[in-house]
Amino acid sequence: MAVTTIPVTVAGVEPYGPDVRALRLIPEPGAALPAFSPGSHVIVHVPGERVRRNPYSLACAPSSTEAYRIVVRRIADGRGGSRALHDEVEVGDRLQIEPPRNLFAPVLPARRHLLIAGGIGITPFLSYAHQLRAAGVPFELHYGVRDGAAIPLLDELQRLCTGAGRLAVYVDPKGASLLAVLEPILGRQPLGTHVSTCGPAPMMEAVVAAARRHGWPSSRVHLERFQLDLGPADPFAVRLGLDGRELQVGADESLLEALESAGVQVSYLCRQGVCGECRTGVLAGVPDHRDAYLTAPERAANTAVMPCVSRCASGPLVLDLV
Amino acid sequence: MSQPSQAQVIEGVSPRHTSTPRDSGLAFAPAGVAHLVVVAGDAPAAERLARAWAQAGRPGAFTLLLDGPPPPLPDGVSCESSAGPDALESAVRDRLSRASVGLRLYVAGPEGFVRRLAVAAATAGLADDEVLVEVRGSGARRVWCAHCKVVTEGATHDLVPCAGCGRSLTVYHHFSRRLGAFMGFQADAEVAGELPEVHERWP
Repeated sequence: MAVTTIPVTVAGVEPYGPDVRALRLIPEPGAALPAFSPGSHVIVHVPGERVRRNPYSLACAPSSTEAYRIVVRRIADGRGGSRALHDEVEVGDRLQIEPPRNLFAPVLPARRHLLIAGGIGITPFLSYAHQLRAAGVPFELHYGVRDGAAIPLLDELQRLCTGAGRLAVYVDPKGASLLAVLEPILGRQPLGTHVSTCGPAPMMEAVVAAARRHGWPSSRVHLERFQLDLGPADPFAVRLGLDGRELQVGADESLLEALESAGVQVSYLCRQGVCGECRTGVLAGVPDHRDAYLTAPERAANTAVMPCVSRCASGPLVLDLV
Repeated sequence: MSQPSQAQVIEGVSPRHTSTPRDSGLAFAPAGVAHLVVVAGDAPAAERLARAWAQAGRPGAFTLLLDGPPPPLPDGVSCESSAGPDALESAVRDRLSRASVGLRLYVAGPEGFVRRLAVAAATAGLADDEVLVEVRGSGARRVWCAHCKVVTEGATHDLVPCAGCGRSLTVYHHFSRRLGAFMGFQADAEVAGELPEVHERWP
């Protein structure tokens, strides 16, 4: 499976404090950026000793075909992709991105949208706000940040919400003030409202729990998971088929990346354990399941693994691949 | 509990692909935080649901709208009677326009009534998993004429004269959730005057 990429140039960089920066990406001559649906992301091939393929939400209008914008938070203890996009990438640099995909599209028949963002989880809601404003669908956006000094995208959100939706920003170093309003917010939404949330896992869990307490059916509650807390990673060995070759997976790379480095093509979409596209059969060994896709019985069966995030609990791990 | 009338297997239509409604039945939904129960012509069904709510510990307000005198009800049920199905429908629409997410709507009554109420529910923004439906009483269908667009109420036979244009309509097993009606088309469209045999199907 060949991966299609779009060559882009970094046309602008806008910092929001020391750890967040927005990158404006324009297509190189001869390339084109497709329009996309709200909530879409692109996978950026971050150059370096080993290419990282990191997903970033498109934080711009879905009709933006002249330039995309992504907003990157520096993950100090991450695997290096976001650090490189902060410390090494500058205006004029060239990058490869994969075409937009969407695992977080808004429900179009919704009467009203309740959007709840924590920190960098604001990024998918930029395209939401553009779309909902253009379509005249009512929405309210609740945005929690820990630092009020340089709130990412605030000016644009204020402009998008003026006359179209309601914007509430909660500045709290502990992140508690947004959590405190979830109950009253979810308790007073008119029929037909859908809630969408993106942010740290505890915040999204609080949204789900509050929604359940207020009688929201799960069909009205939508989550964009990102940056799953993967915990520490140890190197491990993996074998391709029962008699196949053995590969080493380093502590600083994913199983999927190790397979790709070895020339083994595995189909993928989200690269963060959410979508299920890279599901791979397991012939022996016990995976350390770190995804949000497999069901509990599937995990227990240990016959499949999501190589984009999961690792090895008890080896040798033998994959149904050649 | 009687089987909802729409559960019947329709000849020539795959149960997996038919558009005809699959009703949930009138079980109490404890996940809801407010319960709006609308019953036409079958007060005992409302009473059973109210008892299930009371047994579950009365989670959330329980409001009952009926088209007749109230049955004996457990404490805490708020009950209102309307004069007939039309008044009942407008009372429901009014309440839904003021309701919040978390409400469950329960509808029981004759086929035509529950389909009209299902349209009102969808118009108000309720999703399928927030509406519990059971047909009780007549299964007579609402039929939307493909020619004049008028809905004929109360079709008990598979051939029905259109209330709008007078054509003889074949009541087809294609259901519109938006209109809350089955599609009807001119039964003798191929050869004028050549009408199929008429059967009573939904008494």
